[in-house]
Amino acid sequence: MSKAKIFLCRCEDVTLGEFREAYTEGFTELESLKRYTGVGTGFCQGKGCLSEAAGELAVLRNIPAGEVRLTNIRPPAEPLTFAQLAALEVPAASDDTEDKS
Amino acid sequence: MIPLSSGPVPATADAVIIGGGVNGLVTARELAAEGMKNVVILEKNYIGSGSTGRCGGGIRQQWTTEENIRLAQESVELYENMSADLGYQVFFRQGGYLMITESEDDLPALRDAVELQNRCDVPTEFLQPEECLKIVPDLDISNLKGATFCPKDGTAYPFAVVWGYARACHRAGVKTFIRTRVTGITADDGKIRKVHTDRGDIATERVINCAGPWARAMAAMVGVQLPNKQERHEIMVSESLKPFLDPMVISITNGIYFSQSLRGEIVGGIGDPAEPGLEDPALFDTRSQLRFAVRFAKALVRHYPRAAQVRMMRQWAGMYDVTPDHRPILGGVPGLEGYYHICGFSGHGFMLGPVTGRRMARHIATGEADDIITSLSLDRFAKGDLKPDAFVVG
Amino acid sequence: MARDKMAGEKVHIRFEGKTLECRPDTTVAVVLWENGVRCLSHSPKYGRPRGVTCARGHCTACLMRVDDIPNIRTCELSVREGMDIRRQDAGAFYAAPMQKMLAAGSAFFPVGFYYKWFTRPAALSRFFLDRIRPLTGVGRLPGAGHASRALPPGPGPQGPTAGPATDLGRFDTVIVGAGPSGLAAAAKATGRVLLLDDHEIPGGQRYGALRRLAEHPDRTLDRFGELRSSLERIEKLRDQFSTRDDVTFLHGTRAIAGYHPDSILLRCKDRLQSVKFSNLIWAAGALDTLGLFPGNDTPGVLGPRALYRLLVRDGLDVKGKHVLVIGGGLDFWMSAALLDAVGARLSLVVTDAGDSSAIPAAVDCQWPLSTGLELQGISGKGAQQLQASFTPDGSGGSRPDSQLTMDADLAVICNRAKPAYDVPYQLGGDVSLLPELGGFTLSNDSHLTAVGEAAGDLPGGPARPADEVDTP
Repeated sequence: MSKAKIFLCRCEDVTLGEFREAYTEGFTELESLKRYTGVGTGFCQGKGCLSEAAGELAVLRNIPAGEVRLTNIRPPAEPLTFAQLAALEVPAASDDTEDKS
Repeated sequence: MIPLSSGPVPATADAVIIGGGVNGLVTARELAAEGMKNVVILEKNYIGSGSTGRCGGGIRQQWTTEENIRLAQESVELYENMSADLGYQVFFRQGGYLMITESEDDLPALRDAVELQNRCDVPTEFLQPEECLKIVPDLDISNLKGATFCPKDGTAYPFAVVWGYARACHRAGVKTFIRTRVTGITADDGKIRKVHTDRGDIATERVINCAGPWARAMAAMVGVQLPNKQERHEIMVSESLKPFLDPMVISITNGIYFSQSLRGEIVGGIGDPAEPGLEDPALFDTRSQLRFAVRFAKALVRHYPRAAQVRMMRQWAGMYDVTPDHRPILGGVPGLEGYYHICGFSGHGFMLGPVTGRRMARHIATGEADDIITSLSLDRFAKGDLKPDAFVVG
Repeated sequence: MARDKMAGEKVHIRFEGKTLECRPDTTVAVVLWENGVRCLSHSPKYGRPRGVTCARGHCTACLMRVDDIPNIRTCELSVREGMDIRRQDAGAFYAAPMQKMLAAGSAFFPVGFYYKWFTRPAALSRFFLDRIRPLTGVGRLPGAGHASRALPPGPGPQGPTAGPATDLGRFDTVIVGAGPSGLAAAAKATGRVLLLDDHEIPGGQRYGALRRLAEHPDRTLDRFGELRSSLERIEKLRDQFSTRDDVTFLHGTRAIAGYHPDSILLRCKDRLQSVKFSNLIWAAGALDTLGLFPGNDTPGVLGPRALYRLLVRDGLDVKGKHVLVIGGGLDFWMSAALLDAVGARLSLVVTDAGDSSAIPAAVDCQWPLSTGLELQGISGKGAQQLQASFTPDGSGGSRPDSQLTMDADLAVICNRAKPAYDVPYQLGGDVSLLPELGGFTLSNDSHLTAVGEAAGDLPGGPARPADEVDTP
């Protein structure tokens, strides 16, 4: 079984070995690991893999798991067709000027 | 390897570049290529985290002034050779740009633009609506009045460009510091002296402001007033599909743009006239809004009905650093030796970054004058010497 | 699930030219499975066979082309008369050999090799991009015939639509998820309250399975105290909730996008609606975690929540099938009991060392059970089965001669699950990794609160105060 693949991200076919290898290349942030290996960028947008990837990154960086920041999860949480979106009314432009930083 | 340095920043540097996006990385690499030894890049987040990593990756030569066309043309040549030059794939694909309009009033300007581009040896053609179908077979042409198409325009993958240049920088001895904030810049006697960061101070005679949407704030640290405002723009990506769309399609009527990436996803956005120009970085908001998703979807389905059952996966936003004439600001300022800025790209930083970075690096390293840099310097606003482009989209 | 035909009627669907007859109230993925088609897609890089895994429209394993539309999640698609279903192709003719080569020699193809190879000279780089372009992407653009059907109704896409209202307005409290924690929150919530859940009735992800067990003549439920008390707790909460007629309950509805600061998008079947909230209670539960082991993508490997959906919601027929249940905890025993109730043949492997309380009950039920084993990996065995390999605890696979293999039709892996967190995070919630879970969860603030399993309060885990059940 030692040659068999352990999949971290099934959507993009990223194995645990590949993730670790990318880390040794200098991709030490979840944001850049995501873009370089493809972890979390497939159809499930990370549902199947980001927690595991973050846990693995904590081990690689030898930091407490709580210090690993998640990548930006963006809406929608599931893919929506353009037809479904086009059927909605256009929301008004936001006009609040609160601090959004 | 793309090692990104840790630990305190060096005590001295020959040049300090603020910003780790396309402008900062290209300029650093080109400075090193010009022989400059101790070049440092300071990035407050991770490389490519700003506008560069958020953009749609489009690169076009279809501009309406000769200067803009020539600059863009030079950039396209750089992109054509970039993968070979860096030894790193940047995924530059020349699928062309199809610029469409739904208004008869735009047609004369479009025809003029084509003529001018052709005189500059850019192979753009003017197309009747039906002719667009040869390039994008499923485009809905029912409301189109005309279009232009340049087959040499294209797209590249922003992060590949970022990583490729970062590796080249590393090989050339450039030190890149991520998660490092610039807290101040000191100048005296009209010369740059020091850059202060949250990891220590760097004594240097040259600081190059490539901070994109934060360039205005960085410039203010040395009393330089930039007229830039920052605008929020949203963009989205669809599920990935087998190749079906060759060019980037861009409408000068409603500002929608969409193309298919090499991963097979539709990448696109649409301008929102309701977005204000901002000046305070505290107001930057790169969170997603439903309004964009609905407006984009309605426009996409109208232009490309076959995409109706295609799914949006994700939407995000970035800031444009916009100048009054939508053209970048290069060069320095009189009376402040050693300060340079490369900013204000107004949504075109990715497509012009390689050429402006190279020209600026040569100018900074050798002191030689550069006609583009002179033309795009800050003083043009005070002089009223503006040559805005007719088509600003995206 | 919409029952558009009377029970007993048959539906006919076409799969790659073959007609399959099936019952109406099930999904395409289940029908294919019951007809021996377990491989629904092939993975993008290595071309590995993939089959139903999450049964909730979360992953890519079941994506197929249906009626000329690509990337349809067949695990959530109800069958309909005349549906045409195909697997999606890999692209160019050279895709399959390239995938095999990549899979076989992955040591020679380092991660990101396509960034570093074939970059010089420029002409080779261009040629390389031309050749890989057909290999990227998953499905093909929908057929041209869908264009006119897909456009929204109304005077024009840019104008107001004539459809039903899409904005539900503002609620004081929106509770996402009507499982035990959501129901408990709904019982206490004040003001204008909206509760939503994607099941048809409130009760949560386990309720359907527990009800099925309760109805079973063998009274298996009574042998497992933890299961019995779970059901009683949910029933009590459902009763409490039913006394409140001022809470709006939307069934068959999911929260699918969060837009900062206070807006969420809901989906009920194909229709989207938006709603604003002053307080959001995120009671959406947890997702199955299969874990990281060799072959964790093999068709037939599932988590318990997927199992409940397939058996209870979709009626997957596993009578006489050999099912391995591996792991431990509440969902381990519930999966075992449920599988037994529907006639599957069980083999249990308790790998979670802390869980021995229910073992005597399992022995009473005469279920084959092993302890002291570690899962080393799973591989496909032919097109219909899988093989799981185990070694004794602590040996870590170092003694291949002590490896034990078990063949099965299905393997249900019951690990600690991970909280769902995406919508609250999109709303600006502060989400961080819980080390003891390996999962992310929300740090509660004034208007975004996670409760129950979504807050990390998983069976067998450390208790969290947010999930206390108030009994009146």
